[in-house]
Amino acid sequence: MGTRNLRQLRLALWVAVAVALTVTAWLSIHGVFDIPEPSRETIAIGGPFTMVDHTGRTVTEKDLHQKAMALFAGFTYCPDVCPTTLTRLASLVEQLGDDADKIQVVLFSVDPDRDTPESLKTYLSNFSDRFIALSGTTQQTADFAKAYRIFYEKVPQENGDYTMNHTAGVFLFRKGGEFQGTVDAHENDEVALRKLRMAAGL
Amino acid sequence: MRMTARTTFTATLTALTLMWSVRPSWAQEESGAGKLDGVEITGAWARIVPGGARTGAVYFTLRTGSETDDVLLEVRTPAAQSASLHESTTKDGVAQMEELPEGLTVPAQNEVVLKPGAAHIMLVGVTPTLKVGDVLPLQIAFRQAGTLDLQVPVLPLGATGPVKQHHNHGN
Repeated sequence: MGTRNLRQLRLALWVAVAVALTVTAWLSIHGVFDIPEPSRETIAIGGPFTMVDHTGRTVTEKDLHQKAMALFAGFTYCPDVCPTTLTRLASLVEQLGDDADKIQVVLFSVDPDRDTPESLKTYLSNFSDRFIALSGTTQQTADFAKAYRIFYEKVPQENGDYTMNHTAGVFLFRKGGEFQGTVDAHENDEVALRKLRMAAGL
Repeated sequence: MRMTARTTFTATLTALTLMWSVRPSWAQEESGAGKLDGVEITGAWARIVPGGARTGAVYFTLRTGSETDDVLLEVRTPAAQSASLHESTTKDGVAQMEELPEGLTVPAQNEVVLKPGAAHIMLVGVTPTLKVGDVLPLQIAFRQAGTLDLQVPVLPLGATGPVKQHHNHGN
């Protein structure tokens, strides 16, 4: 090959390199080479609400976001499941020892017609001083339930009273309000404690 | 007959055995148990939630010895405004409590256990003076076996089962 041809070839190659670099730079700027982060499935459970706690204090979602939370639905006229759940949660929280302060147990009353802050306060005092109970008007109750994806309904009884069907299980949230998972009655203490600790960021 | 030591001993033993076999039924009921021809209840215990609703729940183990099924029809107590049979279930993540207006069937030669999270007797409006350590009187009506009087010990809220009696059959 002649000198002129070699020079032309070298020039052509350098142009090719420049083009390649430019194209690569352009693609990189436009994110083509980015490795996608595994999507953190954030399930939108929770939202704005206004309720009253068992001491009569107004509570909003901002208050609940201050700490990790274990939330469950219940009502004071419940003879079996709710006392059982509360007894269990009291025991689990006690087993957390010094870490018990890092997670807040919250009872959400699905029975605004019968439960009042006063009756909830008496009810809770049988289980633990650490727990709080939320209640509200019929509308506030419905709004909270909608935000936290809790189902509930009245079921009339033969003697004229009624009981409540409601979403079962305990819902765990991290500090800040992000949904962490659930604990159900069939899981043993070891599993439940591990979940509580995870929610509490421990 | 000469009153030898052996005679005295035998006589005393016989007397005690006779006394024990005819002991009044209340002695057995006080331990949370009761028996009729064909049904037996053991390990009865009650849990009351004071304040507000004053609801309560009664649990026990029920056994039929008879060849035929029986049905626990209804429950009565002077210690609460109402007593009714229910079953706690969870369907599709929803906690439910179904009333059992037809009663609870107890299959022949079988055992049914009323316990937290399952079948139970629900009490509403329990007498305010009733507290832990007291005994709750319950009348249980069976279709075949008749009516059984039961004295149910009231246990603390943290209880998860009956107090184990030394003469219990065991689970």
